[in-house]
Amino acid sequence: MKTGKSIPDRIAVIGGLCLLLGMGMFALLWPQKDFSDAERRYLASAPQAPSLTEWKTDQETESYLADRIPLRNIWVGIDSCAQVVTGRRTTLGSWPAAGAILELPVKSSGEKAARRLRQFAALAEKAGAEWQVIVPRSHGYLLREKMNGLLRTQYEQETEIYKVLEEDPHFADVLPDGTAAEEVYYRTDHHWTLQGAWLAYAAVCRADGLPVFELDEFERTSYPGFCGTTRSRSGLPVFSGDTIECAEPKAGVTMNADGAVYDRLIFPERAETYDGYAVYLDGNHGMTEILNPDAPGGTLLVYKDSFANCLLPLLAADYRRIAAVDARYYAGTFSQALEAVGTVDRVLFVYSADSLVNDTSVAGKAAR
Amino acid sequence: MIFSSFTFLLLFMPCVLLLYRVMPRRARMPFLLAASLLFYGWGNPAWLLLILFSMLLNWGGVLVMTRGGRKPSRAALAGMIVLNLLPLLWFKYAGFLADTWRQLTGTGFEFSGPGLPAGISFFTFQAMSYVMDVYRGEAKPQKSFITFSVYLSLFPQLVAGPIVRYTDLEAQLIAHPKPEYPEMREGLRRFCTGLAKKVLLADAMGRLWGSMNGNFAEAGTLGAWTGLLAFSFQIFFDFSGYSDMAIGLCRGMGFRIPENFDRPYRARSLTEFWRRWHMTLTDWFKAYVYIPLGGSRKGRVRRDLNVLVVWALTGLWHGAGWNFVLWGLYFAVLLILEKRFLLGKPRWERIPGWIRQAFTFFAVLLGWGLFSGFGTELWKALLGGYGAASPAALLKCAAYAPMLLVCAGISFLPAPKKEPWARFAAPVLMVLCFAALAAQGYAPFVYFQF
Repeated sequence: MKTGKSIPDRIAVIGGLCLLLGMGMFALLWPQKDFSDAERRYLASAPQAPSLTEWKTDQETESYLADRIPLRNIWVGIDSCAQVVTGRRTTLGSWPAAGAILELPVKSSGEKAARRLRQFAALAEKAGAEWQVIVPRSHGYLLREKMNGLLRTQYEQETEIYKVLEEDPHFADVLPDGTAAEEVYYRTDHHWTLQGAWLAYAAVCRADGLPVFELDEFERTSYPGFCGTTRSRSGLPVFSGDTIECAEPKAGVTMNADGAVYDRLIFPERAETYDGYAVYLDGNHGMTEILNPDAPGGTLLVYKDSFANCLLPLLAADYRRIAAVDARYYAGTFSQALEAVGTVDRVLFVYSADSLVNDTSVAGKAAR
Repeated sequence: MIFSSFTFLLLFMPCVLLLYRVMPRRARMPFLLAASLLFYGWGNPAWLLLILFSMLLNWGGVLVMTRGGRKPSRAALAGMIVLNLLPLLWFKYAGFLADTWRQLTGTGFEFSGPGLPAGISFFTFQAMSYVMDVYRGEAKPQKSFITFSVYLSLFPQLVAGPIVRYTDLEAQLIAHPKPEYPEMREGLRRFCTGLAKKVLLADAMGRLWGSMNGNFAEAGTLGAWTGLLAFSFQIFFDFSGYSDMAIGLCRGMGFRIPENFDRPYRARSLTEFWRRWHMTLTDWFKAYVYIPLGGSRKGRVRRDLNVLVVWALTGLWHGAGWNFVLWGLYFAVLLILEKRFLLGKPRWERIPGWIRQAFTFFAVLLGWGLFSGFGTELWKALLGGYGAASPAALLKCAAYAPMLLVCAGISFLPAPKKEPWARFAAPVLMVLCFAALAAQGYAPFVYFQF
């Protein structure tokens, strides 16, 4: 230890402590927005007035400071990088592997998948229509051969789900094992790209005997700088995001989303928001109805999660009427949705493997 | 308040250190008392009543005991000890005693206890050390209520030690030290080291242990052993990190308090381990229990009995549970056997040091198994009763392997003689700690529960 009053020591001590205090005062006093785009969550609200009968001031102050610390996104990014560097990438909310940031593996659940297929079959029988189920193999599953043994083992647990699906004649295997994952999935999001969605579109139309339009025949737009859900969950800094590519019929399409009517299916203004994937259909809705009077096909009822948001604008080219039901936002059961839609020509179920086996709203609403 | 919280790091610590530095001499002790009470009451203001009771009891009690310069009586000492122990008995052991009574007799009622105020074991032991030092004539009664209260509540070491004996701090409290900047800088460096031990190492190890101890069947043998190893690192870095922060903060205010850890996992015998682990508690029990009981002066049998008593009490000090008593007795038996059959024996001394170190660590590791309180589930997993680890448990073990190696390196290897990176380490560690705290939040200190 040096002795005496040396200026560097004084500067280091006073400067360091003032910096800490400045950060604290900034976090406490500087007005900031309540929603974190990067983390996609609401930040802690300001501490309430202290109450001795129910003392929460310490926790509330701590949450407030932690959420509003200056440069929070950078701190989170540094921590995520530190975890990756020290081998703990699998402790993040999503896993960086094989050149992408992947959703966590879906735990083995063939039995649940089989139960869901039975529910879908019963629903289709009630509708009196042909049906198909589309569950794309996950990004991590398609990339598993490029991973080390331990990570591969985790994603291979999903095989049980896909085996159950393969045994069902209604399963449209649109992303078979071996599909080039880089082409059909985003690096920073768990959803498929336009290319992946087009494979699903082609499978549905072929099965229904409808024409399959090439992507060039649609109205095409693209939006760079997309950082999706898996990136948000990981907290990892990404210097170049993905580019969202969109396609919709060139004219004549209208959409009714939970009562709001639009004459388009793509919403460029949403590409700039934290949820860039909402560029398709303006995000998720309980019931979405798409009309295209010039299309050759009839009425298609789609039970879906967000994977279908990219697919529906393509299907709109072939079906005069599409009714899409998202269990997470639709208040009624699947049977009630069927009654509300009326006569349908075809029923389509589009879910990620995770939603198929783990989404309780799908399980509950499909059962009734 | 917790050292690794942003409330402490961004508001409390800089305000207190900066203000204390510029404070006039006579205002320093009242300021430090106010800061310490704010620190303690921040988590639960009701606890302030308890520490105020302890301050008044011991300050006033000792003045009454020694009124007119007389030597305190044994009865007065016993009375003070009992009064000090009553809150500890109520808050820490009432639930445990009621539960034990109910299990033994089949009568009684469910009573979970009133909840444990933070640091009660620490400041109660500090208060008793003051009373006993005055009784023995080793310290003078402190006439200033504020100075005595600062001793009892000095915020850096209030809730998790080191346990500072009054005689160690008396002269410094009276001198009202003004910290010099180089000393403050050293103190802040030490604080950063402690914060890094806690946030970067202990919390990571805690997460690994937490992911294993929830489901030993899934963890399997490998997961259980890895988890227990992680727990042994967690508890070490957590507690020694807290001690580093406490020592650093005290130094930042011009106080010197005793060291609490000296690379304990490098010990080559259990006797040495306990000279290196939580040294201030070991010293406390030695000075106030073991030696008054006769220590080793009254023959081997009496010495062994004294060791058993001290270690049963040490176990109970750590927690109100039979696992803690068992843990204490486990060490008592091993220490007795070690003293009788190993220490000083040529055959033992001839064994290479690293083997003795490994043997000692293994005994300590099993001790942490008892300490953890997971019971038969843990031991069944450790002994292979649940078979191999699941793929998920394997993945977790692999993910934490580099951090386990870092922890092992710091714990087992000798300290480097030169640390040229030390000047730059503190800011880097601080950045990493802030990042971890912002992203993952803080975890309470393990030793807060004691």
